[in-house]
Amino acid sequence: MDKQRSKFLLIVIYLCFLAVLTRLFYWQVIKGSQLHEQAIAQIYKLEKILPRQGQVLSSDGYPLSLDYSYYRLALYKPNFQTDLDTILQEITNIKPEFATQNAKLLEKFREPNQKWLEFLGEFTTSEKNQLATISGTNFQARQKRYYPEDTLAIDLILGLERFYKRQLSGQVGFKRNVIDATGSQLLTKKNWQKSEIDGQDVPTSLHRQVQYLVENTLKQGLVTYQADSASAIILEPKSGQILAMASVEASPSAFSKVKNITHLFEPGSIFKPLVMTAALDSGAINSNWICTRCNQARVIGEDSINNWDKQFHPDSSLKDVITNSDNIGMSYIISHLGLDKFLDYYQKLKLNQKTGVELPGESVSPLKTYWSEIDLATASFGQGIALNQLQMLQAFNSIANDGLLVNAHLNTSHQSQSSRVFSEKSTNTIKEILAYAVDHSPVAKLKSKDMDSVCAKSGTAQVAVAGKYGDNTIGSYIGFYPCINPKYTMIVTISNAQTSQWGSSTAAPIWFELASHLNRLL
Amino acid sequence: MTRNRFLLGMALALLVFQILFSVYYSTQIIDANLRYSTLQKKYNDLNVDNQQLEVQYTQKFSVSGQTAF
Repeated sequence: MDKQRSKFLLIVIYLCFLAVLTRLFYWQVIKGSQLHEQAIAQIYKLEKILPRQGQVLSSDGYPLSLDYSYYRLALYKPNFQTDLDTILQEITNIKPEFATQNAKLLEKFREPNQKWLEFLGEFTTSEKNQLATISGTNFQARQKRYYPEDTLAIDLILGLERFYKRQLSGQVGFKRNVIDATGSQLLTKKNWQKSEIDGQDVPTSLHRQVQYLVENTLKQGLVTYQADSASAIILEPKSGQILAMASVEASPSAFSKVKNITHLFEPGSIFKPLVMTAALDSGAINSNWICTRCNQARVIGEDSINNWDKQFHPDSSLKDVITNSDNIGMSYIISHLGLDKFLDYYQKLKLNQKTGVELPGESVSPLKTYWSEIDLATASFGQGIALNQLQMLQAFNSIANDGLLVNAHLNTSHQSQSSRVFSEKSTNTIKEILAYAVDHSPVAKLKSKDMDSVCAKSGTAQVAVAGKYGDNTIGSYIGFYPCINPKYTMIVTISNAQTSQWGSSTAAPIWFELASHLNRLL
Repeated sequence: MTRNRFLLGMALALLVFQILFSVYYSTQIIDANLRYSTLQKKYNDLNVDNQQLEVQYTQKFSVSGQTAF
């Protein structure tokens, strides 16, 4: 009997041993690798190190966009040593708006199955340090982008941030640390770190005061002239740096767009000075040219070219052609220039390519492949060609810059690229013509008393819809001041103004209003 | 006999030395760890403070007059 018992006991011991062995085999061999990974994950903690993002800086070094850090509070019920209401009272003492701000979340947190919840509200470091002593509170650092000038140049800044995303973002770093049971980091040789690389700042030429002035003046103009939209750009003539660029709309869209470069328009009469300078520069006409056939409309095939006011100006000089914005005279000038030379200047002025400004979404219209005689004639007064506002200003700036075309840009760390388009002699001639035209046109009364000679031209273009011109118009005014050694080149366009369709009555007053303030700021 | 005592003494001395050595350096390591994590927290707090001061500075000199966000 005893022998049987001891045998039984031995068998039980063997079976137990076998069971332990089987279990060990299961954990160590079958589940071994999985458990190994879990153990590593418990010991090591992998963390991202977020880099400091670069800032977009204005011309005075002021950050137009920067990172902003704050703390967010989370509560964990199992760690509470007092009741929720006492904790809430302590939080409210420091942050009075906390309870009202988080009313719904607190209601949810009071449910028995809700153990952990993160709340709304931004806590500063001192607030965090005061509340961190309460058991059950947990603070997480959060980061967001902050724009100190609010909506000022916001589309430009967001565009620059998209364009320079890689430069501004920097590179995320990583660190893998050995941690103890409480989650605190241990100093060991096994710790590994790949440092983050901070983003680089983007210095821009944006002048905050000028930008503010432009945006406000355009908004006022929009109301005064009951227009759909208004846009303006101001360039520093020698360097091509953009001082301000804005576009305002009566009914703003939700999408961020810089209309100055995304929308194409027919420039209209503001294109005339460029054609005239090309004709002078190429030698197709000289400064004494007289339009002997300007006493009647010009007929080309089935089409006829007329003036905006249906008036004729016989024997017009170049000054008269620009002062009267004479389409007939311009059509003869471009005929002297010829298609090949016109296209040559068109390309030299980079009107067939993007300006390359550091913003996404620039639109450009490809050059026509077939040009009829009427196409060339209408191009002389800016019809049948489509440009974006910046392309037009960049090209016009070559007159201000004594014939040198500089690329328009925002980033001041970029070197200005320039190429000669016109001779200094031809730009001097056109400057005289433009100054004369301003002084002998109704816009002369808009000049403030302290202003010297202004070189500018107005334009009005009909908006083509589905291949036909409709009632909508774009009025524009482009120019630089002063004519000699200009401080700025500026374009203003106003779309579909209800008070007047003419650029000289809508865009020009805005241009001169801006000019009167710019003289103090620049 | 004397040699055995000497060896035993040496062994005991080494044991005591090892215990004292490990107690001393483990205390040092724990101190360093604590100091490190405190300094890191302080660094993070100062970083956040710095960014908040930067924001206050920009608000003060903002052209559009934005004072709160």
